[in-house]
Amino acid sequence: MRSLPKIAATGISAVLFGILGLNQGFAADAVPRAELLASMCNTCHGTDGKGAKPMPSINGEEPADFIDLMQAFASGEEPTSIMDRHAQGYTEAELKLLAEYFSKQ
Amino acid sequence: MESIDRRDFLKVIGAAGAVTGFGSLVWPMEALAAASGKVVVVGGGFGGATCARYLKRWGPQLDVTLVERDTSYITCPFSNEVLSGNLDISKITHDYSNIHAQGINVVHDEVTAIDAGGKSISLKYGGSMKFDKLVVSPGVAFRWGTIENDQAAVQQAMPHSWKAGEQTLLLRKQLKAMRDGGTVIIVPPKKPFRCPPGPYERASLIAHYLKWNKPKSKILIVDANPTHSKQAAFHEAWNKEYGNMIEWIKDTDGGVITSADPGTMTLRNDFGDEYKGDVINLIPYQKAGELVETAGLTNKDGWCTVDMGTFESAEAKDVHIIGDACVAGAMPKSGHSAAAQAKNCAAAIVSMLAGDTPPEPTYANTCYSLIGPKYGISVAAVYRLKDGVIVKVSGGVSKVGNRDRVHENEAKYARGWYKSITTDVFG
Repeated sequence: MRSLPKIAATGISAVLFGILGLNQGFAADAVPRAELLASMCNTCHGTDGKGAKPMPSINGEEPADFIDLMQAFASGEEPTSIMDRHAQGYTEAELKLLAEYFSKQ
Repeated sequence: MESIDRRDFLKVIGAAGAVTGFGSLVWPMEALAAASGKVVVVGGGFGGATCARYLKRWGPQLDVTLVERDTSYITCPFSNEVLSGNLDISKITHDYSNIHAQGINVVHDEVTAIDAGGKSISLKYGGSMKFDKLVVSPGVAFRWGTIENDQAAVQQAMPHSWKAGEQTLLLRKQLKAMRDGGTVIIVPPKKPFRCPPGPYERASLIAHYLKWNKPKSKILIVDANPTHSKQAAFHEAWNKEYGNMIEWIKDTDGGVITSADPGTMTLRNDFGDEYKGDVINLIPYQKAGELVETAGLTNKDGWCTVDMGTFESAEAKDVHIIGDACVAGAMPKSGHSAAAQAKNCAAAIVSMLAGDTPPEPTYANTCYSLIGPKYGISVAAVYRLKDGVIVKVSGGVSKVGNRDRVHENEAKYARGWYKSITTDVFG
């Protein structure tokens, strides 16, 4: 959810940018960390998480399901040939960023 | 989602102020595109092609040019399946049309010199080219002469097949022509080299071919190293699938080859012992690609020291070096590693050109090896930057004792990996 202050700031900068005639965007980071993190997944699961079979596509997943599955891979609760070795490498905060990102692809 | 604070707001305005490309206002636009400038990427393999594509993805206003000598790229991954006859070489050949279609200038030319201070490169046919940021992904070059006669030997008699293409087809031809009961010798170079599991996957897939076609034959791996990649998983698989067809000779058991005689198809080790082969795959010792060496961008060991977060060269500002040529801490020299480095490098360059701080780096590697068409093993890892060095935070090799079903799945995933990564890299 976009918070009110961000909308306000975006609006103000839009006006300023309009005056300056710039077509720049407004996100805080030139490349958000979620983009970079997700790009690591893209290599196997396809650009934007849309995979070449038999790799599963991970786009459009419910964030809660995404996090639950990754944590189950990491703990060994969910059998996998390789995802345990990947899932263990990310923090909970990073899994949340990834889950949000792929849910919107 | 976070709210934009005053600092971020000023940062956006600041970044915008530094930009000279004016256009119409697009609103509301969530993502960024604040970066502008000219980025030239040299080398169209896993590292370079990925970097060009992600530079354009994250910095759509950037002027991105990919300079690559050849009009098509034959991947080293899956070239061992071409050797074993399972795959036609056309299946691992990619062109640059989708990269061009993405709005990236693709120039087929050879870079002859890098002028880091003057921010330009010289081309063999096309004069010179200016850049704001340069990315070089030159791959490896061979350290000719480490093994006496290696350069002459690999031309015809003992092909290296370590850069996929003609050499792959030459070794395939020799394997097909070999008599049943012959000896194939594979000579891996001393570490570090491109694709650490490659020689052992190659032994496996040649064994698969021999098992069904020339079952009395032998494979010797005469290795200059004390251990090798995925060792336990490979050795378990060899015993299960190929009995005693493959023999691995490590460094202290006579594995260090010092000279080659292509005339008699003989190799000699540091003890003076001789190995005679019917087919010999001599893989030379390696270093960073010639371009970066000529440009003075290599260290005393022949590789490129870089900032492991941004991949900017320690020797030249605004020149970034990725892939097999660079020193990247715990990451192996693989196509997957190169692609991961390329994405971090692209994120750093887009951020820098927007006047922003790059996102915290993150890296992953996944590398499958095929033992046979239905038997795969893997190594995978996630890495982080700690005190300026890339370190492994999770990962490992396929377990010994896995069920057949897991091996079959890993072989399927190996093919899925190839489809996905080559689409991510080449479009």
